[in-house]
Parts: sequence; C-alpha cells; structure tokens
Amino acid sequence: MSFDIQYRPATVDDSEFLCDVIIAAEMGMSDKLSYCTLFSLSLDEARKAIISMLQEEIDGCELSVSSFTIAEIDGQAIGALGGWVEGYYEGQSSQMLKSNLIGYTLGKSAIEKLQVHAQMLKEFYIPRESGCAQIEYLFVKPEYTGRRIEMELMQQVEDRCKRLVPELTKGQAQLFRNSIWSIKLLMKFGYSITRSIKSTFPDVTNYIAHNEKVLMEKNFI
Amino acid sequence: MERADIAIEIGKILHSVFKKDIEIHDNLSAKDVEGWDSLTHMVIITKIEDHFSVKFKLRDLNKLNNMGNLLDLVKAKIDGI
Repeated sequence: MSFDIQYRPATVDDSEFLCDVIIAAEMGMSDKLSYCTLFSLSLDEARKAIISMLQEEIDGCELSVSSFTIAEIDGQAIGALGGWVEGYYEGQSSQMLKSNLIGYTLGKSAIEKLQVHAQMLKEFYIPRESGCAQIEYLFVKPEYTGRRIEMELMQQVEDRCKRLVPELTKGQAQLFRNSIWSIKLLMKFGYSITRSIKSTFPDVTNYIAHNEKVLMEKNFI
Repeated sequence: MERADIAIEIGKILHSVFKKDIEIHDNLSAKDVEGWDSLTHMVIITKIEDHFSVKFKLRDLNKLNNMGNLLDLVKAKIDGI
C-alpha cells in the first residue's frame, strides 16, 4: 500500500505530537523518562511541562518547535525529527536555552532536585559543537516504519540546516548506545560513532534510559 | 540600587556558588568561569531572582551573553522598567 507522505516544518499546533516524539525518543528502549525521574514528575506532569516548554517557541534547541520537521499523511502527523544549527540564534548554546526553559517552566524546586544528580549528569555531558547541525529526537509511528520516512526526515532536516548555514561542515547526534535502530539509521546516512561515554554511576539507569551515550558525526565536505 | 552595587551583590552570589572570588566585569561570560555550566547557570539565575526579588522573562534570559547584559537586566527589573 502506498501513501502520499508530506513533509513540513512543525508549528506550535504540533506541540502535543512533538511531546509524544520527545518522550518516545528520550525513553528509547527503556521505561525511564528523565523528566519524570530527575524532577520527580508523573508522566502527565512531564507531558504538560514539555508541551509548555515547546509552546514558548524558543528557537535553537531540542525543545524548539522550529527545530522539528513533521511527516504526515492526510494531515495526520506520523513522524518527526528535530535538528538545528548549534549557536545559530545569537550565539546561545542549546544547552543554555534548554536550561533556561527548564528552570523557567519547572521552577526552583526542580532545579534543587536536579542538583542532587549534578555529578551524574555532568559526567554524561557531551558538548555540542557551535556551528554544527545537531540531530535529535527521531520518531516514526511503528506502523509506518521501514518506508524510508526516517531517511527522508533526515534529508529534510539536513537540507534545512544547510539552508540556514550554507557553509555547514558537520552534523552531530547524541544517542544512547542501546538506540540500535537510530544508530544504524544514522550510519546509513553517513554518520559514524566518534566518542562514547559510559557512566560510572551504578544507579544511572534508575534515572536515564541507558548507561552509555555516543556521539555520532558526519562531515558534509 | 546602582549598577555597581548590583555587581557587588552578584559577586557575592557567584562566590557562594563557586566558592571563590570571581572578578565581575561586563565582558565576563559563563565560558570564562570553570564550572559555570547549564545546571550551575540555573542555580545562579534562581539565586539572583531570590536575592533581588525579581522574576526574569524567558526571552530576557535567552538574550544574556555576558555579565554586562545580566547587570542591565537586573537593574531594569529593580527599576521596574
């Protein structure tokens, strides 16, 4: 059966679907959503917080509506992928933009909860290179996988980043090591693993999806 | 409150976070201070809001590039601008 699949930039009206995308991609193959475990939120509270952050429409990070490209059939979103150029907006790092969003949305008590896990999170931190395309949060509804939608989303996001910065030289993606499907997909698209960090905290998987994170990169020139 | 006085108070806040003196000047940025990462940034912003009894707007926070911007923002908030 063939489908007429359309690709378009996400809008704030897609916030609920993008929230599902973020949650599915964050959890990967685990049952842990860091927004719940690190901030002591229920899934419903985490959903509300993520939607609220998306609706702030801050550009330039993984919680930016403008970072996402949507795949849809007959007006129904079936998949999405996020991607942005690091530091493109007034030089602000996506990490700082995301932190401001979290602090602003969840407030002081959330920051205090996060501080408890500061060392664990700092150990797992891989800086994003300024001026490089950043790929984050891929999701396609299971019934539509294997139709090259993922590859087309990758192409669309890469093309959009290159339109923003024609001299773009590199793409980067950070994933958990157990995201085998996404790692294979990125490899097919020319990415390779250039770095990995394994947590030394034995209880890390109580809070985040996996104990190892990889950086994948692709040179555009 | 004068801008210079705000700078002194922020210096005290940074000292409480980093446990050392940080020289406050307009061009100072997070990149210049070891340990001023995104999590620490959230803590600093919260402490500044509490100390000066102000609440920053998200879009103002996202425009902060250096200490000069932060001092101007705090002063504007205190002055009710």
